[in-house]
Amino acid sequence: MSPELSAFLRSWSWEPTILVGLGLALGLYTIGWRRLQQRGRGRVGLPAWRAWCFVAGLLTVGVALLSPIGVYGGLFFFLHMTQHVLLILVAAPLLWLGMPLLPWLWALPKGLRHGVGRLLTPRHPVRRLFDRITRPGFALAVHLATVAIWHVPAFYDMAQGRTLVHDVQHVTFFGTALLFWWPVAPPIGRPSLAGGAAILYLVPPMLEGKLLGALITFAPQPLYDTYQLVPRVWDLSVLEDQQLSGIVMWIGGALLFFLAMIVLFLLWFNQEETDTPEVGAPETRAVVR
Amino acid sequence: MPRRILLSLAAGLMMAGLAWPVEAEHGLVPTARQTAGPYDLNVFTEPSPPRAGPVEVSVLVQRAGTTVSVNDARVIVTATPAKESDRASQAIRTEATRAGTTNKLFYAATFRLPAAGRWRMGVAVTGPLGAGAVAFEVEAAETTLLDRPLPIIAGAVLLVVAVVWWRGGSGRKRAARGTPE
Repeated sequence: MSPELSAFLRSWSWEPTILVGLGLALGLYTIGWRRLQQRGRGRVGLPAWRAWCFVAGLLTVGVALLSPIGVYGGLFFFLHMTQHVLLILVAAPLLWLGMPLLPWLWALPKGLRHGVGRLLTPRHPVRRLFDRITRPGFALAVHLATVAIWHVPAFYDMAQGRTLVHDVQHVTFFGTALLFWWPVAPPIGRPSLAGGAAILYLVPPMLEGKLLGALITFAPQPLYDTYQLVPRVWDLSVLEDQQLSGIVMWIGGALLFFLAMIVLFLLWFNQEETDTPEVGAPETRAVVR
Repeated sequence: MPRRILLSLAAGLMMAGLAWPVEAEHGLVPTARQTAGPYDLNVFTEPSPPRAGPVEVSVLVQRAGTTVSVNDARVIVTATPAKESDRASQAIRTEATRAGTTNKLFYAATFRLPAAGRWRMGVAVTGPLGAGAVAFEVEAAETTLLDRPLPIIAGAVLLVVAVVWWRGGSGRKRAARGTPE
């Protein structure tokens, strides 16, 4: 094995804030999931496949941020692109398929659970705000705009390196991805879009990814200053790196959207989304208390 | 697992996270990039530009004119204040190694920069191809609260949780007493 490949495979970032966040998310989910199974006696419990989706989503976040993909993302555009694709198109929908909000709620101490439960009742302003920002039109528009804006070279270059702007970029990518997936795979309750409408909902971001990916792939010169200034550690030119990243976005993104369409179709076909009740529904209110 | 143990564990992990020293992620534009003898040296500082307090200096050592990184090199990092009167008391000399670095291609050293102001940094490399050294100046700024926003964010989150918890508890008590909320 070449020293460069060996160094790549051994380059893991044990960023404590991310590890603590992932650990807390998994710990709370596990406690809540078990309580739901025990106290709900199957009435509001989540099926095991949803728990596995959640675990897979957390693992994907870990791989995207902590593995060599994340560590070398500052040196290679195609790895940074892979990181974003993993967060937006793999981690976000998997986490939401795990329906984590009810288990998290159930993991909380009684007083805190009751307080959060009140925020989520249908007439509470917090719940109304959530209902508004998770409407399909709004969620879709915000996500499309976020992806487009961050690929403008001036903004992309501003965000590179370990800076506050880079953190903002990741938070907005991931945050708007979670918003985007909410109408078709909500973390609680039933999807507001199902069947053909849900599949059509995925078309605009898929087209945006193809368009941006093609523009990046076929650009005759490097688009982003960042990758011209960082040292080259592999025999991959700046332009080749850029072309690879365009292909990751274009082809990789399209394949993942296609896979998501198949999953949504199967969910719709099997009517799986009826397995948990809406927050605010009588049975959920009873469980939250 | 009892809830208290879990909460203590979470709090402990959170505190460890807040106390963690700075850790470089090599994506920044190098602070210095020079050919020194048989080597191309790329030097990064984290934070960039450096600030008074903990600073990590990472060095990528490559064969000059290639992308091949050099293993088994000895890398010494020095920092001396530009102000002559402070040189004797504040000069820093430390070895950068690959132990504990995130990106295993880099050599890194972490030290505490005692004061803001102009500093002269030096990186000296001795390795299988010979020796080389670079020197450059940096302006270290004062550390501000915004350099470590995590405690502020964590504090804000804890405050929100406390308020929601308190309101939830008082809501339940009111409900138990039968008074309208």
